Amino acid sequence: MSDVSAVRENQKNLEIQQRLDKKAAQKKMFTNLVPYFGLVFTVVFFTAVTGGRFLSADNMGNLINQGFVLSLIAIGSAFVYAHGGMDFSVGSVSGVAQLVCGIMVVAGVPLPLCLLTTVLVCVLGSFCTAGITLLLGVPVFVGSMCVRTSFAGILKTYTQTKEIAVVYQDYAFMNNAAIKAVILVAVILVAYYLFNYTVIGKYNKAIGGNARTSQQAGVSRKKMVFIAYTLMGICVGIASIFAFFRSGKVSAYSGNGYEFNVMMAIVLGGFPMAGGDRAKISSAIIGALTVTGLTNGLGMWGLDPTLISGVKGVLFVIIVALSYDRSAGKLVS
Amino acid sequence: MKKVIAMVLALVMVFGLVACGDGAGSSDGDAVGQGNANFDLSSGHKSKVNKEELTEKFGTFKIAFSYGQFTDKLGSQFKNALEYLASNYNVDMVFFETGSGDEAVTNLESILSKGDIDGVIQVGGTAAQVAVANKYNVPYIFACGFPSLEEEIKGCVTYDNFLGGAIDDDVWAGIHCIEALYDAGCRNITYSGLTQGIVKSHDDRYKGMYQVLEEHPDMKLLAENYSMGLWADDVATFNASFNNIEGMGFSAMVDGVYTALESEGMANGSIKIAAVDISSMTGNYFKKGVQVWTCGGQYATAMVAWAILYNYLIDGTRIIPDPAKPLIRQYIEIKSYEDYESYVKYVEGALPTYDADEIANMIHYFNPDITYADFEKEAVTYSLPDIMARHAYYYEK
Amino acid sequence: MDDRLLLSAKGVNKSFGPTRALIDVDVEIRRGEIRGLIGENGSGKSTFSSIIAGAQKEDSGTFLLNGQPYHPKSMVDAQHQGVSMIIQEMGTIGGITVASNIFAGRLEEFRKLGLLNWKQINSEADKILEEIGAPEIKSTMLIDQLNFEDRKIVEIARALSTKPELLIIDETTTALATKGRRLIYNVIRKLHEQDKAVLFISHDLDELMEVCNTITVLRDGVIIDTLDKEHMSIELMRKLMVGRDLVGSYYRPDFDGSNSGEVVLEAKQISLRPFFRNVDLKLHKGEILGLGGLSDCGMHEIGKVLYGIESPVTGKVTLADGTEIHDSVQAVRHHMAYVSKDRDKESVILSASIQSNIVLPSLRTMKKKFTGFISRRSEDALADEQIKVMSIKCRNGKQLVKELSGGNKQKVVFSKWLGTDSDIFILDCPTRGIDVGVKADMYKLMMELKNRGKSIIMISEELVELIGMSDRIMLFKDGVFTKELMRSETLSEKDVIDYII
Repeated sequence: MSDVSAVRENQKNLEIQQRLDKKAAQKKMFTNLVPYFGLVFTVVFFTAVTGGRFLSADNMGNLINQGFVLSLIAIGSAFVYAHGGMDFSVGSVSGVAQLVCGIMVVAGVPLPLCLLTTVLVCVLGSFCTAGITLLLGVPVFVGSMCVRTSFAGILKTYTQTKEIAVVYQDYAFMNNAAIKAVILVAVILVAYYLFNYTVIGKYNKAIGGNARTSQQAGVSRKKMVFIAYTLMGICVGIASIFAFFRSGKVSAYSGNGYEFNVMMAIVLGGFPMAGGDRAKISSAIIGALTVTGLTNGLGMWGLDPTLISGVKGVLFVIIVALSYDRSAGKLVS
Repeated sequence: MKKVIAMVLALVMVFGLVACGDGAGSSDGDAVGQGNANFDLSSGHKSKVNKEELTEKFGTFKIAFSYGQFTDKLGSQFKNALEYLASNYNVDMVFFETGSGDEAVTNLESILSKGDIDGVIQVGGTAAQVAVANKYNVPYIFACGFPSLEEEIKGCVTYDNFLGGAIDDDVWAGIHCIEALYDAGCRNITYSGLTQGIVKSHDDRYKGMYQVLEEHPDMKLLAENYSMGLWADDVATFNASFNNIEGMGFSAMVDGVYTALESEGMANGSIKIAAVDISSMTGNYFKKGVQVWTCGGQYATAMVAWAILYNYLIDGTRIIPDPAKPLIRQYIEIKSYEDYESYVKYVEGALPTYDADEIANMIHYFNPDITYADFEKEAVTYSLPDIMARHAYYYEK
Repeated sequence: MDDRLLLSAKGVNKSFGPTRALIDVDVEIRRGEIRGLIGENGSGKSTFSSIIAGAQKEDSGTFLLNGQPYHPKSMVDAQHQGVSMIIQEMGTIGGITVASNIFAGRLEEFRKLGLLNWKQINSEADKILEEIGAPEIKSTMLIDQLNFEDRKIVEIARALSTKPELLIIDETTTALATKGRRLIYNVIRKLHEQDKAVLFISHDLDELMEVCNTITVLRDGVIIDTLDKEHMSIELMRKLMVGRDLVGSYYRPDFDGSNSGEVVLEAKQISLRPFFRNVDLKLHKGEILGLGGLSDCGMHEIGKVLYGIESPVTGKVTLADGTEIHDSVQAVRHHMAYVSKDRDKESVILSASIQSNIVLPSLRTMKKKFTGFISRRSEDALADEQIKVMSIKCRNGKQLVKELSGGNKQKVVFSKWLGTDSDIFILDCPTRGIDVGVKADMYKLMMELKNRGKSIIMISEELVELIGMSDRIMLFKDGVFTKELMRSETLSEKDVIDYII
């Protein structure tokens, strides 16, 4: 008769077990570090090929200006993606929000009120997505597409006959990189706190991990999903304000493509698209920074802009293929 | 492990792709000005532009030019025309895509942050981009497009480096397009255009159309459609909806429209078409008597914008006195198959519509008597006959 | 003796990542042996049998079949060499006939002059079915027409069609009723008469005692011992499987089913179509109330309604203070706990860590009032405490739940409710798929909770368990309450069966 402990804890088997444990821990650490590696590589590569200009103070300012919108939306979206949701309407909602902002500014409404209204429009947009999905029981993909089409329609109808533009120089202060940096840092801190130290992040991740289990554990799915979409709406709203003042006008193309850039950012950052416990807000931030750095660096390097989109597209496909968790069986729930 | 290798391979592939793309940079499309360092002048004309001299004296000017997509016909025409100029002057051209929304601002920032650009010409630019150029202290001019809102224009002129813009008279084009149909006897027409609100030049073309309709109450607009470039589909739809179409107007032209006309049996000459834009099959339809009017050659406006910019770069001359008002230039009209043939020869041929010397005549450094009034006069006289006259000796051989 | 040696395995090792499933396993199977292989979940027995059957490859070790090296490339290859296996899950191919299933992968053997000889295929299939004692299943029937048991019989026919030297039965009998089981015993007996060998894996210790002539015990990937017929006994087998003496009684030492009379949960005339109707139920403080019946009698759905995750069509569920339960969020807030019978799908978040799972229901009480702040340290403390108290076998709290064995997963589930200090527990099949050792721990835990004044509703399809643990049993049949039985020393399964079938 054998004794299990005697066998498992003999010299040889102890060593074997330790070796296997170490390998598993290394693999986990590696998977967590890959997105950071991507960011570092991007920075180092472009600094090298541009002779250091990538890291110049001036380009730092550019990076902040260019990455502000994407970073903010990515951070807000992290809450929604954490519970396995998504929102394809982000760009169109932002477009309408920029339109509203533009109309109010041109009409002479005091600036703070304009900004508040812009944020409210975005919150309304995400509310619609959340509402349609939760209350009608429709898959979130469908719900967000409905909102997307509606808002895009509003934007298109308005911009067909009228143009909105502000006198650019009057609002140059809204394009200040320092202000944006401060706002971005503040948002990151608040989001980090909410995601990691309050029930908002934890419950949303639980719902993403297993909706039924979390329901049985006392998590109110409706409430949490609404909170997540509201937070995202606020972030999109702030981003929309600055997007408007950055381009100085509203067109049918305002807000175009935001949702896809966000998806690419969070995937590049290692954020699981189906949400769950592995979701980290740092992934959204890393991903957004990497995408921004990549776009900026490729342009600075002199790559033909036609190729830039192509390169980004190819990269996206590759990253998705690499991060697709075959054991989970789905990319998008 | 596998993930790492795959990632590394992916990155290597990507950057390999990039390296290839960066080196090449040639584009197909119509051969306009390709590789003509010094176009062979007959009759002993000697160019007053000496590239080596200019380079020695002033160094090389790096000019950035942006357009929506260089893969379309007009895009490649822009590129070829400006490369022709660059090869004759002390200029290097950098081409990039304009982009839209805040992406457009990013694109320009990326180009300018390299720090070696001396001037910017943009098709489809906005006040935001002028501001970016201002940040980098780089002179800026609009080509083939100009903001329409007062606020936007006001924003642009606050910047010192803003030189103004040179655009094409789209309203004029719209008017002549429909007038041509009217003159051909069409009283019931349809119109297909690009979605409103997206590109101002197209919007102006519709404006021209409505003006003509107002002036000719006996002309009726049966239907109009503004969808994102689905003009070929409009042909079928209109044909199915109406049986009394006499003329069709288009704010742009693609070969697909002609194909649609053929398959709908509308290409036998009973219906006349007129379009603001030329595509590769246009000539055939002039020959067949189906097409009665078109216009094109916008790239020349970019050349004029380039000249205005060069003026400023070489000796600080500001040609446009009030940058808030753009220089408005006429299109080249084509009203017959002979016109079309001449157009192909003189406008889409190896030599652009202005040779290096003719551009030099617009530049103060070479022609101290040049004034804005000359530009304005030229903007109106510019036409197919004008080009044919100017360039006759090139083709006499 | 060696020419009787059919299969010999020496020094077999197999790991899955950091989990070592088999460590230096030596096994010898001789002709004429009906070898039972027993072990808890995670002991390695299924890994071992799947390697022999050709479904997986070992990391290291040597196999000899009839003295020759044996390394099957696939299950079909193993079958050709004389080793066949039947499994617990569905193993037939839908949409085709019985005969096609039996000869799946071997139809080419019946090709004559370019065409498949279906007449021969079908008659051979009928012959096999008759031999194993299932003549009512015809070779030309479509497999989809058959129920689970008959389909399993077709699988057995397939395994036998290659006339194997060694037949591996991997937990197949667990899913079968009497007809299927008897058929398998017959097959085993026949193989024994033909001097072939059988490797029989099952959880049913009584069955193993009856059928096998030798039994090997695995625990934690290590071969513990091999027992021959004289030395076999249920207690010894349990002890070797678990690794320690199960002290005291398995279920409960007492037979007192009385309660204080204080009602903590009451259901009045609840119905949920089409599962159950007009059920009245009262749960008392400190009581273990058992709900029993067949799997479709509606008791599982009663559990869901009591907890609020399903809404009854009629009637209502109320707590002692009058609060009506209508959703799980509210139930949790009122200190109720629910353990679903579908562990992987409803009780745990597989992709999350043990810690995340454990702290989930407690988060709302852990957070600070105004800021909502939940300190990482308090989360760690709660998780670590529960891991220790429940003896959850894991590397640490950050390990993912999906890597745990069934028993440990269930411990995590219990931990999360203990962490919230629940008062009312609704447990649906709490010991399903759990090893003997962990089961005993669960029963002890339930007694502990009862003694602390907590109230438990235990829904179970295992009558023995219900009788062993409940103070009071409510039986259900076809969605209707049939009989209430009080805890008593003389209560047996026979007394209960009539009220549930």
